[in-house]
Amino acid sequence: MDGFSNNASQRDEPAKAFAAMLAPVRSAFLASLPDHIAAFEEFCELERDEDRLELAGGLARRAHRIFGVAETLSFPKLGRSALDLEIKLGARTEIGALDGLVTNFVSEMRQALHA
Amino acid sequence: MKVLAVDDDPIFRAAFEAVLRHHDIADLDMAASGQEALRLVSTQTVPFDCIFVDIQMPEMNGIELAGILRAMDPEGRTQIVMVTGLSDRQYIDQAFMAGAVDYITKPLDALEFKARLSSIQRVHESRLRANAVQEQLAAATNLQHQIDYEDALTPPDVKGLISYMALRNYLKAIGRPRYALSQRIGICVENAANIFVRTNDEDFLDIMADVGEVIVETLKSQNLMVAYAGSGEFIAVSSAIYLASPEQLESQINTALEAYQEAYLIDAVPIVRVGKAMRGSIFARRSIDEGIDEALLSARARPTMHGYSRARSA
Repeated sequence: MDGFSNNASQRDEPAKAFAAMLAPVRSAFLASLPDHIAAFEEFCELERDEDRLELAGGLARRAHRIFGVAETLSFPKLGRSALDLEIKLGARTEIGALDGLVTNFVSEMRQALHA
Repeated sequence: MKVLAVDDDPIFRAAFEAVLRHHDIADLDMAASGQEALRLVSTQTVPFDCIFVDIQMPEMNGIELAGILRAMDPEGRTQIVMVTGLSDRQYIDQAFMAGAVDYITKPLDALEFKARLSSIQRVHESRLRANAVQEQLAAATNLQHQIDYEDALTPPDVKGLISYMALRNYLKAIGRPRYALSQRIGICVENAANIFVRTNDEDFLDIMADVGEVIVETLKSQNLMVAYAGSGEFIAVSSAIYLASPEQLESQINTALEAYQEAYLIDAVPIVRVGKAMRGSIFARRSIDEGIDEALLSARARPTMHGYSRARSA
């Protein structure tokens, strides 16, 4: 069993080293979330579609960035929410009916912050 | 392997750097924009072997950057690999046309990334081996070839001609329905072997470049991709609904090639055969490679071009 444990621990070394390399990236990602949360909450406070459309491009870009890294940093649910939102924001067709998706996305970001 | 990765998102850049280092890529540079990437590329004494380019970037997007990088390196020594999100898939055609040879998707999937990186490394290693052989043969005579007749090297400086690897990756990327709608046309130079033995590498590739240029010019259609598959054979993929018959295409291509006759030092005007346009079915089980082979076989099976003077052929 000792031999197996040693082999297993040797096998774990690259994974541990990789996790160590990703740790500062994960911290930087989490540090960026409050700014994203504020941006999406501002969107929800807007009532006129025209005002929302003005923000849509920038928010789609934010969602795109979060989607690009969330899963790699072990936040798969957040990544999927980001993708859903990026697609809807990019389509710009249901801009007045995105509150549910945005709220869910903000909630995912808050959960990531408290993970 | 010397790698450059270009992405405007600092967090993705950091994550990507960690992933690349985890895969033992130590000679690594990162750039935050197209402009920074171009500065880095132009100041290297040894060129990058591979450049990963994000598609969505402000100011200069990834497709523009890939086009400039390919123009700076027409022989394709550097492999350009696009990094795409799901919403960028619509740009994949343009990326391949601009000079990309492959793409990876965000978020990075460990298995997919490993497979793609292995393929990039294999190409890199085969180039290293070819360079080593080239150095060993430096003292050889002019007509001794350092490339093999079968090598699918992309003839230089032909707008619209992409590498064979890029074409295969493109066909895999567009998905079954679009693949089935596209038409694949095999085109072979019937006297390519004779031309090969009577020329050196540079002249042979120049002649194949002329053939490639004429093919692109003759087929001229929407979303046309043409690649040199080695052994004097080309494969063209077109989404055009109507294409002229193989006989008509053959005649147009061979007539156009006559204009090049004066330029060749040897009496070896390439003579071209065009196969039937092959369209697949969504439900067909044939692989991409089998589809390509089928198109090339059709070209090889065409009768030789007796209408063209044998005296002129090699």
